Amino acid sequence: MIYYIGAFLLIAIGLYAIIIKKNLIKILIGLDLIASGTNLLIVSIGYVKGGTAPIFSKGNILAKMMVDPVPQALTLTAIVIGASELALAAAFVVILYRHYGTLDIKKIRSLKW
Amino acid sequence: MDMSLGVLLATPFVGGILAYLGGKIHRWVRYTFAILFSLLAFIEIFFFYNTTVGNYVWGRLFGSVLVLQINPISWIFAFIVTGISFLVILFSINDVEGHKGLDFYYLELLFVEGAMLGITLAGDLITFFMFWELMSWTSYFLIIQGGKKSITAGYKYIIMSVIGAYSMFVAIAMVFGRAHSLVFKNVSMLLSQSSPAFVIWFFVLFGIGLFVKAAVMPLHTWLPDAHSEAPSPVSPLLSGVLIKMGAYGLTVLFYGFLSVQLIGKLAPTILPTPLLLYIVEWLAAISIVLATFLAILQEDAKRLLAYSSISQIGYVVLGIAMGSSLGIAGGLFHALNHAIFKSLLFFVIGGVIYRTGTRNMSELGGLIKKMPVSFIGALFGIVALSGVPPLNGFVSKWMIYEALLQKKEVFLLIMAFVGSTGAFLYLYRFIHSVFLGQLPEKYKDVKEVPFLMQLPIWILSALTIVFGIWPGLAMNVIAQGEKFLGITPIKYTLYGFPQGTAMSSLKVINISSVLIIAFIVVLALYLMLPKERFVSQYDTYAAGQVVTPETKYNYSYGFYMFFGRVINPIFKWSADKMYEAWARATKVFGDYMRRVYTGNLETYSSYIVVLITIVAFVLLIGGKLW
Amino acid sequence: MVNIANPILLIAIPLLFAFLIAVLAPWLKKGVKYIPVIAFGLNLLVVFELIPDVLDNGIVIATTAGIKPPFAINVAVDRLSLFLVLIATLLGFLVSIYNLVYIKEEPAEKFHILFTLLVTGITWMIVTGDLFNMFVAFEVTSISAFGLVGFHRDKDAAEAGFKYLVMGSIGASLLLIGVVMLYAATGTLNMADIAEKIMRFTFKQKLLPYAFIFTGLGIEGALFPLNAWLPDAHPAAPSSVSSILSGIMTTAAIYGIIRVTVTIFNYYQVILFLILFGLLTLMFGETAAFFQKDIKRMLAYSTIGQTGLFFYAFSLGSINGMQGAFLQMMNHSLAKATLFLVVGGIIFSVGSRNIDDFAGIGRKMKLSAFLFAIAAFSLMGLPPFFGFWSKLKIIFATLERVNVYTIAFVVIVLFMSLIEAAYFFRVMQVMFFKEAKEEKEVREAPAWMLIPAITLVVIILVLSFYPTPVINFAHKAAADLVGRSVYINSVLGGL
Repeated sequence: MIYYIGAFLLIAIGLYAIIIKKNLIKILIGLDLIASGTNLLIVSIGYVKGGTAPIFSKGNILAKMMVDPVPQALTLTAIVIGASELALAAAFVVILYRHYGTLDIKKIRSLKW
Repeated sequence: MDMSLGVLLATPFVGGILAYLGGKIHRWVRYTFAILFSLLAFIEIFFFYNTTVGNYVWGRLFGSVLVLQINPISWIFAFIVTGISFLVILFSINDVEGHKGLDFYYLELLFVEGAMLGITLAGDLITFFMFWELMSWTSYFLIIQGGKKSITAGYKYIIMSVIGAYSMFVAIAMVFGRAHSLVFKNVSMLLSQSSPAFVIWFFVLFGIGLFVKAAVMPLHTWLPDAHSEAPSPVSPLLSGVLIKMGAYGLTVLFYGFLSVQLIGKLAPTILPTPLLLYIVEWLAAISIVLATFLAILQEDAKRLLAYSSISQIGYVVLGIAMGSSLGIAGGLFHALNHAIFKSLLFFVIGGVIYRTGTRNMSELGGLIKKMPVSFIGALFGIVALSGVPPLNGFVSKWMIYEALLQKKEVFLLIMAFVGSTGAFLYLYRFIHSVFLGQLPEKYKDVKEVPFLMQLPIWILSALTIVFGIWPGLAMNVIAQGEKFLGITPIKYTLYGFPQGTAMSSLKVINISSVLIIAFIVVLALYLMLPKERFVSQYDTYAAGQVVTPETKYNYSYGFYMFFGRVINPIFKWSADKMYEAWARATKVFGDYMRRVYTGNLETYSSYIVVLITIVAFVLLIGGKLW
Repeated sequence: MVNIANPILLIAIPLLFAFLIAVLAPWLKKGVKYIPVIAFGLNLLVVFELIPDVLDNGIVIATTAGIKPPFAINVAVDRLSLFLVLIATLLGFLVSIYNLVYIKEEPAEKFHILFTLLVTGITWMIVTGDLFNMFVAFEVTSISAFGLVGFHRDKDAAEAGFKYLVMGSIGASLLLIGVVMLYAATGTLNMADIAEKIMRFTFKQKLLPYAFIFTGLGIEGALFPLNAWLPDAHPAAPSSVSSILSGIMTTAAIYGIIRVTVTIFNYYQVILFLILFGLLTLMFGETAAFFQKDIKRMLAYSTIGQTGLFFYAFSLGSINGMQGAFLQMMNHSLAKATLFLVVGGIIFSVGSRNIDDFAGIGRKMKLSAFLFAIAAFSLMGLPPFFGFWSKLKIIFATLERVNVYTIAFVVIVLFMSLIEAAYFFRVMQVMFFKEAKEEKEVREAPAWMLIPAITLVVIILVLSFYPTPVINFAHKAAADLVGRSVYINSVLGGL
């Protein structure tokens, strides 16, 4: 349960950072928090207390005690995607800084209406 | 036989495409195709004279069949469409020669003709609506070729047309939702079984679409601009034919889909006419009077004719909405007549513009000597329009008056008379300012228009006489049409209406004979009496003042200023201003609406959070907002 | 003979070629631009092979690793997917031809990689039968779209790209959360399997995952108020990319919503609520478009409006409404893609995006102006073009039942159509009937940039005069979708 709360808290903090913070880097951190929160959520869904890796190894492990493998696979994919997204975002920040000379999102709003 | 309807409809479209392609080779190839195919369409029309061909299925869509048909009523309008279009193309050849984009112009001209033909031939509402929209946007491209001002005029035209068309669209969709078939027969069957509220909605929504095209006040505001700013040869097409499509639609709506009895049942009334039709009659009568007043005040000859068109289409609608056999016949006959004489007048003024380059009446004058053919055309046109025997306008107006009298609708009768009297005022002004009076110095060398432009004037002038002296020619078709609509037609003869029928006796041949005899007598007197002495325009005595060629002797600007002073207060509130205010208000509102796109990333992100909350909440309460 | 009517090839071929571009780029600097053309050409062949199969059976399913669904990742093409895949592949093919001449800016090979991935992602999103795959496809599409929007690397492109990226990633995360919630509830990711298992749940239990998935897809699908990135991103991107973004990407995201709403959740109660989104999107898009001076921005707002229109038609919930929505999707995709391609050519020649600078184009770039006019007419729904039939269908579907609400909806839809007509006619007035202020040497766009637009216009014209097969096909697609059982049973029933 604590994992779920933690995950949603992370997501909420991330959203808060994106909405309130003016600094582009902080917005990036917010994005990453959302991604981490989501990943945590996924993993905790498949988690079984005291469970082990879902590998048929020596010793008799009940299938019930295995952790669901699918969410872990999903998480790996999601982490990769999140990382590439963040890299792209960082690249945009660099370009924006070159053009505007600032990281303040308030000043970067030439496109509107 | 069935297939031939498709051929008829395809003729102008094929002609348009061929003319467009031919124009790339040589301009005469273009003209040959344009003339040939419009003439072909006109000839093909005669194969359908007095026939009723129903239900040529040309397609299927959404479970409804698309049908072409022809009946005597649509024949009248198809006749107008093809005939006038042919003359317009003849007239165009010299008039717009040398302009840019001529291939496109002829393409559009023939497409407008085809679209209007399609409207008259449509046998179901989808076909009808499709060609209706096609007509709107193709004619829009014709209108905006008339120069700078025409772009604004065309914009107004297309916007109002689209509003009207969409209103009609809603009506059609309402029917489709119930009947799942839009063939005219099924529509009328459905409407006869539906609740009054449904029928009234259908009537109003469909009617608005037709009123916009027929330019019935207060939905007329596009017409004066569009008709006056359009290229000269297009104006006859617009005034003579395009607005008649509204009249055709009204006939179909009132007596094809509905009937007098059915409309009468919708809203009980003690009036001589069913209530809804009575309202339409009043709108038409108001159009007649106000448009006449406005026409009187115009300085621009084409604008004058445009307002006159609103007024005259008012007679058509008044007649059609009357519900009696005589009134409908009068309305339809007037539609035909108006197509003839209004096109004639627009051709004449088109010729004048072609030669002088202006349509401002105060700058013109005395062109009678220079352009005698145009003058004769104008004379025939105005005599016919003002309803003086022996030309065609007389008979149809007479029929409308008589029908009003029979119904004892005295107020409407008075308004119709006012419109007719007013017509004398503005028409006199028209012919006086353009052809009579003093010839301005700069137009000394003006010549008569070339032969191809004279030809439409000759033909239409002849037609005003033909239909004036032999109204039976037109009544033949109209009576067939009324029979088709299930209305007992009135009795008629070739020369008029016999004694003891729904109409009091009228023999145009007698009236005409009297008039011709009178004319001969006057002519004889004129020839016998001593000759007057002609002097030059500048050989005048001016009480010591030096008369230069530029001096004006007669009024031409503000001709009816005294009259304007009296009636101007009526026009303090114009429908046009109201629409513009609406448009502005919408624009301001829209401008505020788009401010949601603030350009702030944080705003956008908060939208996401807000939205997800709202979605979750709405789902929580069961997803039912209503 | 290998059976190439396998929908997995639709994803595999362009993915392979995309990596091929990356590998070959150092050696074949000039040649790599032809690779996307080849890739989507092959894809087009596959789609054509698929058509008879789908028409016969209603659905074609392919699985990976030889295991049957629901355990394997499967790809399913039913009528609706085929409809969109055909458009996506066709646009991908034509636009990659357009790119041959259009893309001059370096690094061109990276553009081509991203472009190939973009179209692949869209195709993937449409054909996949697996929710997590949909998320991955969504991300592939989004990330390549972010890169392409920022491709010019100027001020506007960077700002638009960044905004788009932030909103897009939030959307992706929301989508993922929703998907995972569904997984937690049902223990499967296969759409058909979820659909079957979720029947046990009550309305309220389903709502949270739905809200997340809807919002996540709604961001990419440009639903109001989540569409604020769109009017920035579409104009900032190169025109060829805009035409893909506008033409098919938003449509693909809406397809996702349709799939999730109808096939998985069977949410008929929500559908009335969705009408609101459709109408609001339509209203805000069209009104904002009316005020634009920049032609690409105007077209982008018009895309929002069109999306709202077909989303509205879909959310009517009836078969007729969905039929209208699919027709409108097709019309919008073809017409808007054409418009962006043509406008790209005009901007290429004129050197400005301001509508007022287009004066006199109608005479100097006759063909471009003509193509623009046809596509705009079809988009506006003027007869006899294809858009007329779809608009007719949408209005007819709305007024199947006449009551206060439907009348109000129709009034709004038609009023917005009027506004759309107003601004397109304004552009055409400038193009055809205004004289240019100063005489400038303006030449027609290069032939390779015109050919794709010409092809699209020819398709529009063919559909305009011969719409019956497509209309019938859309009807069957809508019936299949509403019927649900075709999809679920055939996927679960194995091959």
